[in-house]
Amino acid sequence: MPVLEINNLTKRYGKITALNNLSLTIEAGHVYGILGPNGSGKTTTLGIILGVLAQDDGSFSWFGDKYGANPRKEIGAILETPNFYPYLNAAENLDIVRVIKGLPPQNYDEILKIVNLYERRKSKFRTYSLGMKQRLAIGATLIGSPQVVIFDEPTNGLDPEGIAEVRTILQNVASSGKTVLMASHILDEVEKVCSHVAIIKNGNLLATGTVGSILSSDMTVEVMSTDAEKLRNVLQESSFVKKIYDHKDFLECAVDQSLDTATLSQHLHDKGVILTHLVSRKKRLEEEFLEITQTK
Amino acid sequence: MIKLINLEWMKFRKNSVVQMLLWIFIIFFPTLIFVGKEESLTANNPLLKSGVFFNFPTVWDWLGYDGNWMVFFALGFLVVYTISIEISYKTMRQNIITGLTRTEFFLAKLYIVLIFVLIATVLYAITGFTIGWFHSADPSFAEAMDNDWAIPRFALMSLTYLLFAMFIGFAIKNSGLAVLTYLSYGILLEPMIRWLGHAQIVEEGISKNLYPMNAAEDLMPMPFYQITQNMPNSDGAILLLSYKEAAVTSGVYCVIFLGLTYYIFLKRDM
Repeated sequence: MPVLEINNLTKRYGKITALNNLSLTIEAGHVYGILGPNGSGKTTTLGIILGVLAQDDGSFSWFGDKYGANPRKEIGAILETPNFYPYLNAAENLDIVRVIKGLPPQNYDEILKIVNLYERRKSKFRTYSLGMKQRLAIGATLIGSPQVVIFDEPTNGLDPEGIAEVRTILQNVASSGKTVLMASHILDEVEKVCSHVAIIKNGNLLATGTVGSILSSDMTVEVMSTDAEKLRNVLQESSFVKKIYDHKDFLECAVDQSLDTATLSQHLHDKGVILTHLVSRKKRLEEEFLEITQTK
Repeated sequence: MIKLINLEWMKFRKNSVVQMLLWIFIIFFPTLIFVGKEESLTANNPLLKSGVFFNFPTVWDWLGYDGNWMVFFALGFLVVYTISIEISYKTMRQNIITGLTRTEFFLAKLYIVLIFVLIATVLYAITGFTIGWFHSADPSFAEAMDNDWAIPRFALMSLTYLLFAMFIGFAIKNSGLAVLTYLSYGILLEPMIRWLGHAQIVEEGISKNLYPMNAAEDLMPMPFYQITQNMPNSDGAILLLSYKEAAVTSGVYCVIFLGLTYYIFLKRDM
């Protein structure tokens, strides 16, 4: 049974269509990334399925409607910014979440240790750095050990250290077997944390599937020679090279997956090109993302 | 119900603005009428002898008028503040995401309004009874309660003010603007509409008195106004609604504010 089924969800703000017939199905245990540039409809999607925005058309269903009209007590979620009472400390804020979820009194030490806030548990929320606020929000999603956790741009605005900390926590949550839904415009984050991805732009679903299936079979090869012009000409004439992108210090080529670097190197050598740089890698999600969002 | 009241308590018990305004109300409401208390300003004129304000039944009017201001300013401000900061902190939205239904959130705020009305009314009843008992010459329970339904009138006045505050708190998303709108409507805007607008168009009748804040105020008017009501005036102006008119009008506004607030809150995106 799917955890979440979204059917033809549409949301308009005046003349702007923020979501256009979006349909998604998320199965239990998936770590699902919703990927899209800013303004693509990620937060709108999450806002609708979390009950704070009303859709103009379409429907969605949590847990096959097992929990009726208010399934949100079974979900831990943060939307955009961490929202807490600034004059209360971490434990007091978490206690409010507990009461809303209708759970019995509990000790928050373990959760606060997971999100690395135990030492600051008695400090007021307003004294926290952005990273600490974000970590408390992640901690709040874990109260009651919900089946599903939702994160919206969880590393937005954080410094590199904060990003690394939050990402480690997210990876731990994802590996705990929970169903995770994460909206992000940071491809690296989705690639590292998620098992599945949906790419949306201007409210339209462009692609969806496992991260592996979204990654194409093409390889990317970086090459450079002492004679860059000759290298470019030879590559353009080669049948196994699909596309060439210029970079400052090298040329990047999309090539058939079957091509190995030894064959490429020998081919170029036979054509009189001496390589000074050769790196082969599988196409990254970032490149796929840019290709998908720019062509559709 | 208990869960929702407990939730509100957990949210606001450590908020310094809430603590300060509650203490201001609890301390100043029963004591403010003693400011300027003078037993014999001019000993031979009982009207100018302020001690008369502390006897039964006048104490109910005088204390009610004091409460009229205190409920509007302190408790009304508190209601607007506790709702509008939930919007500005985005905790209202987070409460819904966490699992509260919109109806539960609405009811939680309504319960707080009702508790404030109860606190204010109990304080009014105890303070009025105590002050009157110790100032009247030969007090009796019957004399104390001969007050023209002052206690229910005070409760309805408080309810009207606080439901208006609740409506403003939910309707205006910016907390500063919400507080400003609440205070300026009650103090400036409604009197201006009534006297500079309505009264110029409709010269006679009570229609200009049927505005929400005026109707609530007329449930506990300034005692001096009641005296002027009986004085002859040239243009037939009506300064005060009768208690019955004020009660019915306030009751209608309570239903309107409650219905509008719930409708806006259910329909609006957060």
